[in-house]
Amino acid sequence: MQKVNELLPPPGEVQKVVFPAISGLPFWLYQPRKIRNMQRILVVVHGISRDAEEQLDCYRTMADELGCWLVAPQFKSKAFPRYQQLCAGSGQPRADIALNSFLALWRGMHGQPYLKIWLAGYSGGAQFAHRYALHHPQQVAAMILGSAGWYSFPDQQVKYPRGISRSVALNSVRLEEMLNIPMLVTVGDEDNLRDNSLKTSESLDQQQGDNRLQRALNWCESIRQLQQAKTYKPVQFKLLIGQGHNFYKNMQQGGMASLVLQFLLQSEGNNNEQNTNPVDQYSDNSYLRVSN
Amino acid sequence: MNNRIANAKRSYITRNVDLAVATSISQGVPSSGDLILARVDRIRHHTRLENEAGRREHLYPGDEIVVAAADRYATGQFHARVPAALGGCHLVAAGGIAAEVTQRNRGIKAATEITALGLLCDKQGAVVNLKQFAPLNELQPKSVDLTSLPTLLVMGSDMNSGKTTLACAAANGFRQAGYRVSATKLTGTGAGPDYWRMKDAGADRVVDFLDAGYASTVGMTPPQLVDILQRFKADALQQGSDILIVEVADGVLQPENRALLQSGAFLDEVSAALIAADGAIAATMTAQTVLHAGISVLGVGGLISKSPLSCDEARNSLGLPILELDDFHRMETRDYLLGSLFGAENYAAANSS
Repeated sequence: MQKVNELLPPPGEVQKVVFPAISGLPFWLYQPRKIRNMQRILVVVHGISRDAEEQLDCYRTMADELGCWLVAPQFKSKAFPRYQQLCAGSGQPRADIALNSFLALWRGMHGQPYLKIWLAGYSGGAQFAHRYALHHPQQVAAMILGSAGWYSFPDQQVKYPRGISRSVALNSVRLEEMLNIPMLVTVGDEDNLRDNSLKTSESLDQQQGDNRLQRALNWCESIRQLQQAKTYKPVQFKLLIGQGHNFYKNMQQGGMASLVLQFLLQSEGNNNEQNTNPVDQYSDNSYLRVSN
Repeated sequence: MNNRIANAKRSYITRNVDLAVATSISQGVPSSGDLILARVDRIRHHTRLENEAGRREHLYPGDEIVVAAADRYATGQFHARVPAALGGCHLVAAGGIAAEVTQRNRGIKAATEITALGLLCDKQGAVVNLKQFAPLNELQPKSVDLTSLPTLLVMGSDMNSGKTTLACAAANGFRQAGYRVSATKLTGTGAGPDYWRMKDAGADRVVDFLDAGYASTVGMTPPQLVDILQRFKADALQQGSDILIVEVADGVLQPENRALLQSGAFLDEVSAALIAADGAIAATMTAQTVLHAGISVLGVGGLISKSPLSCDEARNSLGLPILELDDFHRMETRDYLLGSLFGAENYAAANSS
């Protein structure tokens, strides 16, 4: 029987891994050339095309710069038909629990009990990311939402997934903790089409807006209001000029990659070195005992 | 039956045994599973002996009891070995295990002292052993497709972490959802409480290693334990069960459990696991160990569920569902567990028909 650790790729390389305990969810893993931060991993989530490799390709350089592992789960349509909403209904597989199983396994493998993730999702992946953060905020150090089609608005009166009134299949949301997560929302200024891949309905349009751009603006505003009331740092919103709904172009040509990198560094207080050694991080003279 | 044997207090461990075959008592070196007539000398930790019907009968010095020789491994009680010879030894489990204590948990009294008077023998003079009374040995062990008989493992951080409570809650929840459940105990030392609790929980069928002829599974190898598990499966299918629940005694660091979690043959027999733990650290390490072995973990419960703060810590550390006993009566929890065990498509199809 192959040991789990032996499934991982060497530095600078990519490996698709199926962990036996999470057999329904393959992961594409990239180990940076030099690991400098083991307390974070960058988890990038694909859209409805379910192209995890594309996510990995576009974030590899960033993982090297951040010095952290890059993880792209592949939520296949048969196993996780509505991964964007975490679960397709009662009795259906839970995409969030599958990711959490991976994180529990990873923490144990690497001896990092306090590990949190930087979570980035694009389109359907951004839907997954913010709903995951609503249910498991304790797992997320910072979150990037790129061009989500629609959102769960922080409205207790509206049923999940459009709002956050409790879903039968999921635990209740932890909105207040989620509001405290550093968040970046990006969307192209030309991502205002009502194409086939955009979920539309009269009630959804009325609640969230007619297109991805409007919906992102409206969601950010609703989140920001709640954050201000708590004096939390507000969600950042960045418009990608000249960009439509295309992950690769948004990243490579629209400046999304550099925005994300800057945001992640900022979210850690530009102080990644601090995270490389948890002993140093928690050193405090008041805890030192010196003889004589 | 020998009158002396007939008059002795009979222990739980003999529940499958036809004591009428025991016609004499002889001297010899006991082996694991051999039935022994013993005299109670000094009452210490175990003050009562559980009989084959589940009642705990009070013991008195001078009582004669029918017990079995076997090893015991119990972090909360004793580590004990099959007696090297007849004579002075200990009652190390209320279910009726005679052994010599090598280690004791300092939180409990010393073991009740007994004298092994002789081995029970049949009319041919052969020693009566539990292996002769193993209904599961009449079945052919078989590997069963996990979609035909989903197999839920209940694994714990240690002894007394709430494994049986969790297994029983699952059995009861599934039973109430209309499923036929076989609840089983794969490893441990013969004792009735878990067996009776599983029956009380409404399991349609309850079997344990005793039904495969073992008083204790201490020291058994993974192939031997897989053989027992496959007999449980054959029995479950014969009984028409839909789900098999398999409780494993002790914690993930116990030697036989460590070996089991490294056995591909065992892992192939399991669909998923529930973890019982007495605290957040224990829950985290146990869940990680089971995940690392390659078994999907559906949730965490057991003693930890009594402490909301510990549950929060485990939730933050693991992100896996923390299951309280009441949760097993909630439809969404049952849907989650049953959907995971049967596969979403099969479960949905079964529910729509």
